[in-house]
Amino acid sequence: MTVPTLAEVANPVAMGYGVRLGQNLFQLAYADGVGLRVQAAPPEQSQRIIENPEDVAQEFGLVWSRADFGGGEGLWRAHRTDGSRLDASRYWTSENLDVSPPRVSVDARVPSELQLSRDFEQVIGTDGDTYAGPMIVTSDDRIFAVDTSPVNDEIVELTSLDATNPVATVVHTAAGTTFGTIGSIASGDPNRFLASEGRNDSGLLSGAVLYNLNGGVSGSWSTHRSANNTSFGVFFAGGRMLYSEVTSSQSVLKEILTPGTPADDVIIDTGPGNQGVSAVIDAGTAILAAWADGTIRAYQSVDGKLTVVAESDLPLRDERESVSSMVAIGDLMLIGTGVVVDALNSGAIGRLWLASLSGVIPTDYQLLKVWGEPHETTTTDFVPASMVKARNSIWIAGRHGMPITSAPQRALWRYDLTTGGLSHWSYVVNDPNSTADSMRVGSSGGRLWVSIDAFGLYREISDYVAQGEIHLPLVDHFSGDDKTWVGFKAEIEMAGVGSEVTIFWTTDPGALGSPASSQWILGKTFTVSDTGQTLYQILDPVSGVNPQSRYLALRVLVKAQTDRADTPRVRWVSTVSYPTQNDVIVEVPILISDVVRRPNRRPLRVLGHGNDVWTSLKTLEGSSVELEVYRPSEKVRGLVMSVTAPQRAQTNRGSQLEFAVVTVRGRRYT
Amino acid sequence: MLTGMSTVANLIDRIYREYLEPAHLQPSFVVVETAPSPVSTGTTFVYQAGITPPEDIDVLGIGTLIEFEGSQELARATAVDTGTRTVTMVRAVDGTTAATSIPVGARVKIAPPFPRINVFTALADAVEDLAPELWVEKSVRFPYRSQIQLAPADCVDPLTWVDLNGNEYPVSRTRGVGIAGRVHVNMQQVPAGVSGFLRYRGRVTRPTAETDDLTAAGVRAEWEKVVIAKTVAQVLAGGDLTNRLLEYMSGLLSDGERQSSGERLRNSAFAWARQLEQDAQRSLLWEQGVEAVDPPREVYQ
Repeated sequence: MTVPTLAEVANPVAMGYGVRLGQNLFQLAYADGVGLRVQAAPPEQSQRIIENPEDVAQEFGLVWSRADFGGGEGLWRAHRTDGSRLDASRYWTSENLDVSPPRVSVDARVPSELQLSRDFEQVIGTDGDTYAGPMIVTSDDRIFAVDTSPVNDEIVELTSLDATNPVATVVHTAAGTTFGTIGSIASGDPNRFLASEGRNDSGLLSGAVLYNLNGGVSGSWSTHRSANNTSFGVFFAGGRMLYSEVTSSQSVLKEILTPGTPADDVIIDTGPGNQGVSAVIDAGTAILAAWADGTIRAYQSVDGKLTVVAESDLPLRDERESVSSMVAIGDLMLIGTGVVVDALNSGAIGRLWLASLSGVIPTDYQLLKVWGEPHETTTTDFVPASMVKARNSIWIAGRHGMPITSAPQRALWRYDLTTGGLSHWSYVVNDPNSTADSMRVGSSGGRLWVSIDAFGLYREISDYVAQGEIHLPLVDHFSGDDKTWVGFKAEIEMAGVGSEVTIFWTTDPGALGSPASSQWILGKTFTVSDTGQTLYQILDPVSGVNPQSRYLALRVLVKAQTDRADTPRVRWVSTVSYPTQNDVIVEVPILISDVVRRPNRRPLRVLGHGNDVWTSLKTLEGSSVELEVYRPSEKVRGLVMSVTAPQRAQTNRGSQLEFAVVTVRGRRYT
Repeated sequence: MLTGMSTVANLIDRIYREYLEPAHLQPSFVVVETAPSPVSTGTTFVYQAGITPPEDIDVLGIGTLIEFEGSQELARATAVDTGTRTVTMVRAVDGTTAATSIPVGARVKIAPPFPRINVFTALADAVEDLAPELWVEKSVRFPYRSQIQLAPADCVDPLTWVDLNGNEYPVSRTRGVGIAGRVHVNMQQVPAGVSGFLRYRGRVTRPTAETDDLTAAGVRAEWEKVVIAKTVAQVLAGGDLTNRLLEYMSGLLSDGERQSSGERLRNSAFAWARQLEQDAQRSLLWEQGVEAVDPPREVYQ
């Protein structure tokens, strides 16, 4: 005898079967005190994760919040096993937002708020000209930029930097009978300058290294060394004046001992032809030079002469990858690199590495950010061209598309030295071109300056950018279960007329980073009179009910007031959800009598049938099964937790009932 | 109101339909897909898949009696192949006769609780047992041979003797000396040696086939209920009384009979039959004006 199966019975309900376990059919037992029971299973573990005070609320359910955004971008899921303390202040991506962590100012502790970053404007000097790069900011807050408008480039010194039109003084005009260019400028102190120059003397190309030891304005620029078909780069590091000399046959890094007397120059290092030095920095324990072959070499003074003491290579370096910029603070280094993927169109992938200085060379490389991937055929130069360190930040400049809206922008990114968080700071100027024009960033008088070769010189202003947005991470409360998403809250300090904060939500992970996705559902637009704090319902626009899903993510769009003189400030946002208790425990009393009862049929006594049924049930104990109770309809996939020994019950009318209770714990399905 | 001709088969079907196998108490069955061949002697048949639940098939084991729908044959299963759905059997066991028609689609009852042969026998008994309470008035040529003469076998009570000229003479029932248990007629007032006819109350002839016409045999429409009740009671007496049948039957009797034992129900069924019988008798006597009785109750409307 066998237990009937679904394949053998076309219409189980008509044949009196009340429940299916796997493929086997059973009859339910009903008597006083015996019946089907379905109840929600108690949660195995608490899902409540508390990261911020805002997570603690006198509300039933799960609360997730962000009250600090300083941890930077790149957090895809809010809750993860390999997370860190900083996860509580991280998010997925942002643009044009100041997400600085709480910081101490002169007057008070500035709370961590989400606000728009400052805008940039192009600088026009008192001579009516615009300027470009290269640019340097001296330690006494003078800026030396290049005026490319004349036939020959001019080095212009800008002073009165806060004035509407800074005072512009031409301090040098590049040599050359047809045109001359300024390739780079370096300054070691307020009085000592170096510049590299390209010259075209009626078709004869040559390069030169210039020096100025008299503070720029008052002093004259003299040629230290010049050579045909040679390009030069100039650097100041560790109080030393260095320059690179690159020809087709070899590349050389030299130190100037006596300006104007190249015969005294000391060759520090050499490399293959056309492999210049892109950056030289003073890392404290050593001077580091980034060579175009991807190596970073460390030099220390040995008997007064800089000597190579160590060499570091980028990990898993693409052979086309080379260092474009470096910054070292203490034992922390940021290294910008580029991978040329389209030399013809200057297409290059940009990468930002974090490394630690172990001794004299960078080690423990961690890739922080990649720009331009996976576009291996990109024709845009995404290389982080320049970095500058400030008190609590490192600013990274490059032609990085906007992280969210993907607009082609010259932009600044910010690496926070206190949290290690990386965030998009602000766009500088729209730049639909893709040429690899160099870019420099500097800081003077508390504001940022950016020069873009052949494009212009820009400075940070007090106005805010028009709008920015942030995509917060996917919240799942460390549970794969669906949650019922109830609503969200926000505390917002609105600005003046025109300011807005709009909060969208999505249950679709694919919407993150894609503001145009239709999966972003408008939650609430806060205008001038709103302050948030109310629980705003999250309702599915189609069904009109709270959505159920594993994830929820918020998107906050911030718009400055109309004159952009002020920005709304988002202090915190939070979500409230209820755990959707998908696990149920179903207790099914199954008839194990020998008498088979079915609708409209005479009861049938099958000797041994009850024992067969009970035995088959017992073998299911501990097994995963699909349970289907026909009426009331319940479908559960789960585990048979227990099968009781045969029990008896007395029915109101008729004979005794023999049954066993099967307990299944699992999840409903449809 | 019962009207029209009733055959034995009609009543048996009605008994099944209304009492033994009502719609909510159908027996286990399989449905013939391939009939035995030859139909009366073939020893295997194939049943259709997907109709009979496995537990019912489990019951269809070796030795289980089966019955082909509409026939009085009982067969005994000797093998069941659930893979090919083939049942092998011994035909016409327990004194039954092999069916002569087993169409495809016919039901084959598994271990029928009320075999048709039993119902037929009980019904025949019930018809026969209508007498002496209920009778059919009959006459038979009955020449005078002696003062005490053996009555016809189906005679319950002699009424009068009528000569060929139509003269009627009283006769009476008397104890005979011939065949024990048979009715004898006292012909004391009948002229000796005269030929004539005996009018008597006779038994309804016991049916011998399902095709027998009960109406023609003298069973009045209102007596059919008596036959049915007696048949049901007799069949139930030999079978298990289910709870549902109990409920149904007791509902017909009295509220006090609810939740009773099988034995009490069986007795109740008999009492019911008796009551019906008495009603019919009262009706019969009233109609004939033979005895002073109360008017019959309107129990058949």
